[in-house]
Amino acid sequence: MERTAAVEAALASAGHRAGSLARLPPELGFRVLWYGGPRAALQLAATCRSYRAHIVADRLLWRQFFEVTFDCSDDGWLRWYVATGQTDDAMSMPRRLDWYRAFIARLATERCWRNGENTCGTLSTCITNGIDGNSSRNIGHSADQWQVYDRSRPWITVWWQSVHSQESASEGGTPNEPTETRLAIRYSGSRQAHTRQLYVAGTLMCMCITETHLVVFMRASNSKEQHAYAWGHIESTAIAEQPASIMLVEWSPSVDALGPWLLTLASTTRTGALQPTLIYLNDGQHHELLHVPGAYVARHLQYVRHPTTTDGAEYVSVVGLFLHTLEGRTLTWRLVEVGAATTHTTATRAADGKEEALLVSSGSIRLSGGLRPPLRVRSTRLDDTRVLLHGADMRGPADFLAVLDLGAGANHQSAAKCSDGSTVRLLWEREVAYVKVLPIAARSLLLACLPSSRQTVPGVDRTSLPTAINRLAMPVSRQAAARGHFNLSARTARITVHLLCSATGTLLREYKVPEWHGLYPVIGSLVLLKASSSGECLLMDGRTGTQIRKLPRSQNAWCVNALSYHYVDSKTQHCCWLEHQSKDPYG
Amino acid sequence: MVKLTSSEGTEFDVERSVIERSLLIKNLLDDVGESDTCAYTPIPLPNVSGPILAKVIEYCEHHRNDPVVGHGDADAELDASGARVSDEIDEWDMEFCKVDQGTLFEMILAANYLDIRSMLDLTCKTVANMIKNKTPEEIRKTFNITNDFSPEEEEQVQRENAWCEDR
Repeated sequence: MERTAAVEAALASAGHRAGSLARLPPELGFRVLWYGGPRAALQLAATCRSYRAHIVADRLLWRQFFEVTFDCSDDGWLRWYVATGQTDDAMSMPRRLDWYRAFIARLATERCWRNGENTCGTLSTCITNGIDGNSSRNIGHSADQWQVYDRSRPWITVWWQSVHSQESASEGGTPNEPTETRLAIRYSGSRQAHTRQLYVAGTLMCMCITETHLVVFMRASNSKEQHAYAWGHIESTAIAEQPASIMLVEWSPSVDALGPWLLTLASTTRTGALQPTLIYLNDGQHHELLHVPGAYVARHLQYVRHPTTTDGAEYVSVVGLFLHTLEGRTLTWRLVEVGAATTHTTATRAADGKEEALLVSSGSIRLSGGLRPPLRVRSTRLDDTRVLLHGADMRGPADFLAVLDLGAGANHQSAAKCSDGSTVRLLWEREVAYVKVLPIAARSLLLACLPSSRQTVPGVDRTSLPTAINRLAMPVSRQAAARGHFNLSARTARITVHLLCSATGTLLREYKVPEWHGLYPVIGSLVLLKASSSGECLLMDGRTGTQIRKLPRSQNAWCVNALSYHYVDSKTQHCCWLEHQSKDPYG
Repeated sequence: MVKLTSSEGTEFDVERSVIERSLLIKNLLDDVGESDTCAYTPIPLPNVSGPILAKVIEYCEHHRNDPVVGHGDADAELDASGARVSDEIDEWDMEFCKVDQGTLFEMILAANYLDIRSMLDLTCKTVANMIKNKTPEEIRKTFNITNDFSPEEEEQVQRENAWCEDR
């Protein structure tokens, strides 16, 4: 219980005004309020000054209310709130977050989403297909329609359009490759928002938004050479003109991002094979590459919590690399710290099993005998302490699902002792045919199941794999059209959705939804469903399947995050957004 | 049998298996061992008055066969969907807690002092239920709280609380 001396003094002197409740010592008052819940606590805080001072200042109480009410999910809202409103250093989670204000602000955001209370915005400079301004760039050039990057984060959204040289098109007589890509970047912080436009040479192949950087993967015109460009200080209106350039000969567009780290498959030499590669996006122009040993076939980035960081730190910004491999039924993993202080040589050795200093945990688990061994298991972070293991691809039919608990007590110092699995355990595993799994809030998993006619043949849809592989090699501009390769909607009118408890794997609810092209997390239990028949974007409560309202439709040019819905208006081609952030949740 | 002495000196004889629901007393008796000392030497409880100690013993006798709830079981208060189960109180317990407010708060303090987790939960839940689903004005009446907000402050508080209303 953390209170200021002034609050304690106010409580002591105002006991008679506050009635008999004030006679309880703080820890018992906490217990009463905890049982009452946040609404009761707010109502009690509205009775007199002393209770208000007492209750609002109780950070532990409001942190627990926040975690229980909002499930502390990885929907990005809290990271947005912390990174854009609480501290100048976007990389470090503050030690003294005002959890009461965070609770109210988050509540206000969710209510805005549910009630359709939003502010509309338009990028006024992005209203034509041509090149703007008085730049000489627009002479002899044409531009495609604007699109919006579909994996935006609450703090940044990017629209982009490909720009072609008409000269080269007429000479070749064939559709020409874009000569450059134009980016319209909107930064949205809880205190400020601004937009910026940038040009990048080449064809946009992939984009990635981290908590500190915007990274675009480009292929040069008339060349196979590829570069990744990383802009730091994305919160600043003076975003660097010259980004850090990372030379990559080849890479996979499947990129995981956490903190200042990117994880992808890449090669930096023409003769080298694709290799798991960590890219550390340092401040300014600097970046560093780290090749991960190839013994582990699947990997993702995961926050690491140390038991030693219970000294008031709200969140630990140390990033870990979770590696695993599956041999028969035995799943073997290592979780290695790759935080900013890590030396790369040591981290490489730790990932390879030669260095224990940075090893957080390791172990192996034998999957249940009742299950057929899955062909392949991939991992994704479910929250800061749990890993979702899923068969095949998040976007494709699969037949295996499990949750691994890394344990809050995974002890950094005694990592080797964790190899027996004593602190890391498999919470549950299931053999279930599904077409998509989506974590909604940390305690629930939403599964879109295969239609019954296909449930007899669970497993990877091998016929669709070549299409999927081809799609990964396409420029972003053509990926959207190929997105339907796993879409089963043509064969069924409605899709069954299962809501599972992520802690136990038990079925909490089953409902049906209209056929869809895509299902995207929004905030809390809200998801966005893109109906395939009508093309409508439906805001839906993932816990109940209740459709809340429709959002403006936009053909393959929209994205959603915890705060906003961004889209390109079909009629005007304007880049627009609906922002569900209360301007003044504190009145 | 174990002899307990309340703050005003009243003595209570109670079966050891009953009062061992109090972790404080259980640990004390465990430390003393199986000697007869404890049967003749009263255990002083200076923080608990006679009427409250009588209520504590009544509670322990009724729940003597219940499994002991340990510390760190707070997560058990969450149901499968993550919602807290706070107002599930059985009929006997509800009747047991139908006392005046002063007594109820004394019972909370006694349960805390004697380390009887289930009784502490019960009494805290009872107070929480006295707050839930009430307006600030109703809460003021219930707990005899004086409203010392200025009109401006009250308006500000109401605006903040309005965010909770639609959930």
